[in-house]
Amino acid sequence: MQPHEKVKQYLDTICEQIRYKRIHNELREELENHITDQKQAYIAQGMDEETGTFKAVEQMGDPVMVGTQLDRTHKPKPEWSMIVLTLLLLLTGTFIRLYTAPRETNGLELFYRQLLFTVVGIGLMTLCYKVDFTILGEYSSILFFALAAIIVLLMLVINPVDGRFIYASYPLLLFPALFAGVVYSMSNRGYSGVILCGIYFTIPLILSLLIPNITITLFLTLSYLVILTIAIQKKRFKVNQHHALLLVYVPFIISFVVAMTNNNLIYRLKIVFTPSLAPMGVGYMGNITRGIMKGARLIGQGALPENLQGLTVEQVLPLINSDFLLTYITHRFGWIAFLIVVALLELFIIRAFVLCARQKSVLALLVSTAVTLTFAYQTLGFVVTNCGFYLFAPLSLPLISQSSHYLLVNMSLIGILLSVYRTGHMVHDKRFPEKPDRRPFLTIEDGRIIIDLHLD
Amino acid sequence: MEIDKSLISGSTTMLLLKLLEEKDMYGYQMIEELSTKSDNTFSLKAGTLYPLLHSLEQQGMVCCYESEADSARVRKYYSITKKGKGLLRDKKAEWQHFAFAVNQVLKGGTVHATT
Repeated sequence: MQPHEKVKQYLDTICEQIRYKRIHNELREELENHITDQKQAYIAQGMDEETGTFKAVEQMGDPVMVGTQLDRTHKPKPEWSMIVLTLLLLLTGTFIRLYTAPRETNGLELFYRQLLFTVVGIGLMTLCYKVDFTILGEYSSILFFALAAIIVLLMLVINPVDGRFIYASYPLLLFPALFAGVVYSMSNRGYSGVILCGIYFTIPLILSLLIPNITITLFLTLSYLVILTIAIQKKRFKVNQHHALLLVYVPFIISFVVAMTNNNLIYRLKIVFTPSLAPMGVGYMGNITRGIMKGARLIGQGALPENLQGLTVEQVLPLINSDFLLTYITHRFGWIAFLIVVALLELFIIRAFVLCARQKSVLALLVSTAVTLTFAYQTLGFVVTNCGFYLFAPLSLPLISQSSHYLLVNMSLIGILLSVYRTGHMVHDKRFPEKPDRRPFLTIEDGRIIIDLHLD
Repeated sequence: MEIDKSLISGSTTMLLLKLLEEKDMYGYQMIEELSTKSDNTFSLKAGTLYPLLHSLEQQGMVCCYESEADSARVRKYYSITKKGKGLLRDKKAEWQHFAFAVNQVLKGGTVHATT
């Protein structure tokens, strides 16, 4: 039913005052409902429809004043603490690399490139910040498949380096944030929604295996489990929570058990904890980094292990500017440098998680958690490998270590995160049509487990 | 009797929270209830109600959900949260203290004249 012209004009005037446009429809609906209720009350008192409408609108109050007040309430609020922390991290990273870069081949060239990418990154962050994060819920599938297409294209166009499609691996880190949008869009879709989420997940999973980048494969799996667990606990699928969790975790546990039967993996895991078993083989990096970290002082340059005396740290430790930056600065400046960098990142991550927990809308919660998880995983993986537990190559230390491409990805993710914090407090989850399952998904009859996929 | 608006504005939050403490309501219903319960003394305008209600929601004092009113309309209901109940308690205590003091003065007595 079209609203009365007078009502439409009144609501238009209110909305003209409200700068955050994405809230307009929701406010219009609520206020229009109010006018309708008031009008019906007047009609019940004996007024005709026209007079009732006029009186009802009049009763609402001056539209410019109401609009101005609503604008004040629905104002995006920049999260300054996170913006300041981002800038601090960028500065710290640049400052550290200013010291480490000249000590590595190509270091200075890479330093200037990263400086340029920092500027581009700030641009990307601003772009993602301004484009409201709600588009991740609105166009979830389109964005998800577009990212997959870009990655496939990168794999086709750019030749692999040492058998790996390195350039295609960076954008993979954007998947969890987009996957959060996909999970949100499956709301109220029952078990088929949970299964569809699993099918969507296989796309980035397969891509990460093709690249291959096992560090990212593990991260994608972790974020998949976390996002779906939160969504199930928030009752997004309208299904029995325990059954849905089983549906998510059983395939994961089976894959995990199968992986654990691989002798090579078990051997690698053993070396992670005791690298001295293969000091010249797969345990080399673990052994070296442990030796260097053990010799580090609280403040000032540390000592190298006895068997490496007479050599410089740059001669024994590769990638001091990127993968082993933390080991290197700990050796050169002491644990104090390690503590400052890690504390700054921890502060960023903890603050981000605290703000995630405050989100009321499920979309905001899922997206911000997915992004924060990316930073937590990158940081934890980097710190652990730099302390001598080396299973897979680390990704990058967000905004700190040398990696121009990861920097762009991280800055885009921060843009999304800041966008959630900026407008998340005003966003309400949209209504999804109810699609209840007619029959239960899992039934136990005469000692038999019956799984009904509702494929009919 | 018409009441000076400035007298009401300070206590609107308390009155709204009190209404929601009894049951979940939608905006129009709150105005109606408030009017009925106060013998038409409080006639709150929609333009005052919604900005206040929305900021209470952003502060986590109330939360909202949607429920179908009829086939064509979906209404937004508000419900008081635990935090909101805490605020209501504080506001009530503050109000009682204030009303007591005002009454004392009006009676001509002195509240703290013990020196």
